[in-house]
Amino acid sequence: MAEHAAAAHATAHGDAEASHDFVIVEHGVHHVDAPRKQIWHVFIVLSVITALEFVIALTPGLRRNEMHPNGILPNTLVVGIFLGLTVLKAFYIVGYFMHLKMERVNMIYTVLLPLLFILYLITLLIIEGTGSFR
Amino acid sequence: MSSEATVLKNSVWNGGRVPLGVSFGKMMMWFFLLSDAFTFSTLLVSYGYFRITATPGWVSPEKVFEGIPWIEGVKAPLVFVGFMTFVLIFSSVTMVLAVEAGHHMNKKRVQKFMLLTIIGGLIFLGSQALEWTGLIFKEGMTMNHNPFLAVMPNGNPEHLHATILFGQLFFTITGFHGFHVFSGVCINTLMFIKTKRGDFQRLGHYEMIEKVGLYWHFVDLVWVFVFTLFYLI
Repeated sequence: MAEHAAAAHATAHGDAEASHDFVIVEHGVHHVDAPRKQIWHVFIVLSVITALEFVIALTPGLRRNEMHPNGILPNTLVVGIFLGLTVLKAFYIVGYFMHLKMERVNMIYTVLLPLLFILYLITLLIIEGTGSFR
Repeated sequence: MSSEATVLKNSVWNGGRVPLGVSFGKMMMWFFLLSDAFTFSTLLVSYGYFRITATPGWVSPEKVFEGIPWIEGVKAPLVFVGFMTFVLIFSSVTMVLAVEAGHHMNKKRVQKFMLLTIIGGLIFLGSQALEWTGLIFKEGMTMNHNPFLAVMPNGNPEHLHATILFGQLFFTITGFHGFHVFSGVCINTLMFIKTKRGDFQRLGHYEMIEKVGLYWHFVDLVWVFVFTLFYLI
């Protein structure tokens, strides 16, 4: 009985440490703040990427499609560049603004892995989409 | 009885540890955003589906989005939507600054940046209202009419059908996003009031601002995708 009591006491003590950790987490100050400098850095990166997208979209004669048959770059490449830049922007927003990059690895995978289903949906509908209406 | 409880308490799966390293509320906000991401992705993927299907007959975004409200007769493609994008990104920045101020328990600063975030959201909503008004009343684009049929390959009726979908997809998706911005502005206003009343100061932390911030950044994130898919590609 005494042993049990001692063990219980010990765990209670051990728990106090653990729950202390939990309290800090609850209050959301367990992580180091993103310094203001970094926030503005990310803002500049996002702005520059957006500006670059505008330049690509609005430069006449850059993109080849049915409106501009003499464009330099093929349409697929331009679309690929746009999508790549978008994913890059998404990385900066989710990683830094939403702070996911600084969270625990478990949390990162919990959020990111389910997004594979979206890739699955895209793949399926690209395959289906090119086939219908023809 | 108590010893059993003791043994359980020592196991990893019995609490006392935080496997994800975030509080319950924050984790649930992430899960909600994940489900919202699925909703938006189904909308955007179905847009992509029709877009791929009707590629030769699709409208050119430079032709659709070249007007600026109040300025007649000016052809400035994508300038107005560029302004909207910038406003939303900037309001995301002020949101992060509010969260950062919350970490330092700086009530005045949180208030200031929450207010700026709300104003950014309102400017975005107003701009979207103007854009929609222009498209609906000036151009005549509605859910079942598309005036921008620039290229019509072979008069193929299926392609015609798919291009008419442009209005439906555009109004549904930007409308759904706009509704998210609207709810975000409402929630931000609520948090602004709670901050002003000193609720979070009394509570001892500003985690609510962080959770609201997650939602607001998500709205920005969705706009990044909507912007690329509708206005650029």
